[in-house]
Amino acid sequence: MRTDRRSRVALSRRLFLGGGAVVVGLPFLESLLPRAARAQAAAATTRVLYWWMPNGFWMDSFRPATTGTSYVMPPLFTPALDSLRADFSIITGLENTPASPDGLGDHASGTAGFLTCAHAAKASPTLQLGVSVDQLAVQQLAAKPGGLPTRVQSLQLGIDGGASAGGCDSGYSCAYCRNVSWSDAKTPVPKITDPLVAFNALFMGFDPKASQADIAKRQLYSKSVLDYVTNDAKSLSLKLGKNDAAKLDQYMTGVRALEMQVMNAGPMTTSASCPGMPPPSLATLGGNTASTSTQFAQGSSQDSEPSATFVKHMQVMCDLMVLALQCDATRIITFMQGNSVSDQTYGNLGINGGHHTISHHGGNPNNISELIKINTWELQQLAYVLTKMKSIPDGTNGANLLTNSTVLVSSDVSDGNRHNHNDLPVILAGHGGGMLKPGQHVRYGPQVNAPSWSTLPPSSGVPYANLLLTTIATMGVTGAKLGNSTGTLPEV
Amino acid sequence: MPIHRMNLAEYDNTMRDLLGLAAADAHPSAAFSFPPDDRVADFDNIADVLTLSPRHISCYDAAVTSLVPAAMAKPSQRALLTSCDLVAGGAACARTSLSTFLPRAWRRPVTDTEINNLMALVTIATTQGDSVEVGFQLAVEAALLSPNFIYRPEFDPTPGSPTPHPVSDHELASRLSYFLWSSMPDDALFAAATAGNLHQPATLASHVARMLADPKAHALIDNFAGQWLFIRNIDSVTRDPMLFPQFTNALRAAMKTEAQMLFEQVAFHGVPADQLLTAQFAYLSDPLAQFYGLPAVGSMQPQRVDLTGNQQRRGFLSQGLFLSVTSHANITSPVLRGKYVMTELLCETVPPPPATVNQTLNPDPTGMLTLRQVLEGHLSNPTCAACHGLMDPIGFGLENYNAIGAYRTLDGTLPIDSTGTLPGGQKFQGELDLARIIGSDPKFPSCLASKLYTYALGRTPDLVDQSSLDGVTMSSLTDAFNKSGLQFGQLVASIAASPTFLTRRGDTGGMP
Repeated sequence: MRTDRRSRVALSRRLFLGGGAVVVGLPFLESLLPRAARAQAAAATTRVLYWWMPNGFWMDSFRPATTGTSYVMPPLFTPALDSLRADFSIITGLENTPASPDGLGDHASGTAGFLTCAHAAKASPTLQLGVSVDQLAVQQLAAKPGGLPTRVQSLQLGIDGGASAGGCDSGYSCAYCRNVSWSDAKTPVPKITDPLVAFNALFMGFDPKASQADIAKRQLYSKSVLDYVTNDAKSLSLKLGKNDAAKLDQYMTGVRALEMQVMNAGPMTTSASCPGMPPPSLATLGGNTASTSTQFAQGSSQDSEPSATFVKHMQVMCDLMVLALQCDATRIITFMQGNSVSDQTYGNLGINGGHHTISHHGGNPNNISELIKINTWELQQLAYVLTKMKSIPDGTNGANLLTNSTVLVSSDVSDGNRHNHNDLPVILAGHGGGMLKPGQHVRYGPQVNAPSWSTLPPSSGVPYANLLLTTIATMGVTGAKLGNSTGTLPEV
Repeated sequence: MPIHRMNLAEYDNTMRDLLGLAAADAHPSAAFSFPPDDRVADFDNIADVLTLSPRHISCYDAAVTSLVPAAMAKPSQRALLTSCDLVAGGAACARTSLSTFLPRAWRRPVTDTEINNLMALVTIATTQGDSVEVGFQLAVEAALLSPNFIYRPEFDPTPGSPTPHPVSDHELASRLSYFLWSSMPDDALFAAATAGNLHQPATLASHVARMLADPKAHALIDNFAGQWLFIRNIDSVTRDPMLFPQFTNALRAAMKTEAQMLFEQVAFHGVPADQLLTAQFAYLSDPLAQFYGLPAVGSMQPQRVDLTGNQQRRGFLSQGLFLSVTSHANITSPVLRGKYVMTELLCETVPPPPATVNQTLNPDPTGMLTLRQVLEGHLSNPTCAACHGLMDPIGFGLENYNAIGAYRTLDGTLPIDSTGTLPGGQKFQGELDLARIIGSDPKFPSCLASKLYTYALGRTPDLVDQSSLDGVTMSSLTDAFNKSGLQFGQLVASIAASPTFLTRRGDTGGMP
């Protein structure tokens, strides 16, 4: 519908790939890349990926018994991550104190706090949290000379959309359960769950038939429309109260982001940004055909998908994340592997119940063994992405996408039954462009040697927020403050 | 009331009414993959959490750049956008057309300056050598990307003052139309606002009655009942196909229709609201009647069936939809069913279990216990019993219905006991008895009133403080609702005429 109707009147000012068929026909992906990105591709640029996994981990199988580089690989990590030992660290003992809920709702507040280290205020009629570390990086980098020259400044991906009625967690707004990226205290940055939509968001704007003049005109028209609505919002804002005017700031931020996308989508001919990259199509992602994405889109209205769909969906999203980073279409990604309180089923692992239900293990050995199976599978997905990143050369001197990236994995809580927000399970992978020291277990606070889920691990007093600041320091964002941060972590 | 971004349903319906979209194109939010709206207090139309992200802007842009050119290319839709011939009339025609279109789009009269600002886009296109048509299209796209369209702004004479003042008639028209239709005002409502008499009680009441009788009021079924009664959830529940091969998409659809049509009777046809729980009729198609073990109705379309004397299928709590959306994939959940009744029908607060409690009930290795007997383990632990003592007995009363709502007398091979005693001491024998008790509980009408009030205002009311404006308003709404014999139409009319619906106040600039 989009293509034929619009052509009867005039060229649309918006440029769309328009679906799988066109995607397959793209000549070279690199031709989609903005000019500035190509110019910088030679110099190493650090990417960050924040990967949220739901319901905590079985910590007794996550936490190594000793620290340093000679730790014994814990059960959840082996064998999938054995060959990547030098490329990631296990970090335990950090605590995210602001992520504790008001009353009940640890999953919601813990998910909300994953990248913000801010406290989700349950009683507040408006959303009240804090900026997330990925958006802090976007804001700081965009303000620097040269800005963030990628097509998409940051990409939010996920698996589950959200159920259409009913509550989310203990009276907390569903926004805290469905989003980990926040551009300010009141504004979640929603995630994309449909791979085709995500693909178009990354690589939209290419019209093989458009001439240079066509493209220039479309950009002029789009910019004129966006300038108009910006002025409209400004004059509207003057007539509103302070809180309403603040909501219009969200609008103006969105318009600026679209404008940047439009202006970065200019004509390009050649580049070496994605060397050896075959023409991309959804058919090559996750071994799926483009038509599968329709199923995912429908699935996105559900609480959680059937396990067979989920497994495919995960693989497509994993491939898409690597593709986006590899082609420098974005440098900042957040990924929610489900929504908070995810009750994802794992029929593929021979498990009948849902993840959240099982995570309330109550010390029951059957639940614990199922939890270990789920956690192991989750880290296998991580191993898949890290392995793929490591195989992609990036920059010079033998560097690869993994050495030039910082990948952080954690969860909303530590133990799924106790819901503690200290002794958080953390994996920090990649070399951060040489700024990280992967290959070790770093423990904050006393080592827990004879752990038991029913005993709260002692406090280390070291804020998890400091680790988040460490991740963006690898992108050159320094001197920032986030939540209850007090600095960075030189050990990692 | 904070500035309100149209939610997905409101955006879809407004675009449908504004651009005359055909049914197939009437869901741009789905077609262009808008992010889901947040939901608090049951509903997804709460202004405070209707935030906006860059992705929204990108989606709006994608929608208008597709839908506007499509509308211009189709004569019936083009007539809604233009009132003259753009080729012959040129820029003058563009101006005339915008003067008609823009007030509809922005739901209020517009100024010459506002028209001039849009006409500047027409000039940009003609300066580039494009036609007026191209420029007009840009202007319409811009109008639909404008915050004046995306949001429903309301203005205060003194933005910082917390003293309530009447909303303007055009603002009131939008409040009414988004409450009852989840869409923009129609011409009649807009005309009444322009004439300046919409706020007069008689005019207001006649428009409310007219609007409730309009098919667009079915938005209350989709969006109010869809969320309050969890009707929307039937589309996405999953059942173990080995255990429940009967649970086909067709059966789901029939269940959904049954629940919607029961609510429709209450909402629009004068059936008292407590009959939602005890109605002596149902709307059944052949597959659903067969599933319920009732005589065939002779049609694949739902037919009204008289259930006088029937003990098994009377009212919402005995319907396949409710019983399915509150069950797990393989078994029933008396806890979820009880929790639904407590929180959604009686507005009681039920907190989740404390984090440290062992949530594992004693297993039943011998298979000699019913689910009820296993769950009664909750009551032996005082920590569990504090809340489960409220929820579980209600769920036990519904155990004669399996996880897809089929009637049964056995749980596995064991006989089901669906009798019980509620915390208040009332004894019941099975579903219908239980439903009668809940339907006659004075908390039921006040709960329904507070749900609809929340939905109508698009904000979470302050009902903790009974002396607050919300508290006082709610109390008088409930009284009027009870006096009317639980007439939903009366409740709607009272809300529309309530002081909080008719007024607004500025914010003082700090956190509310």
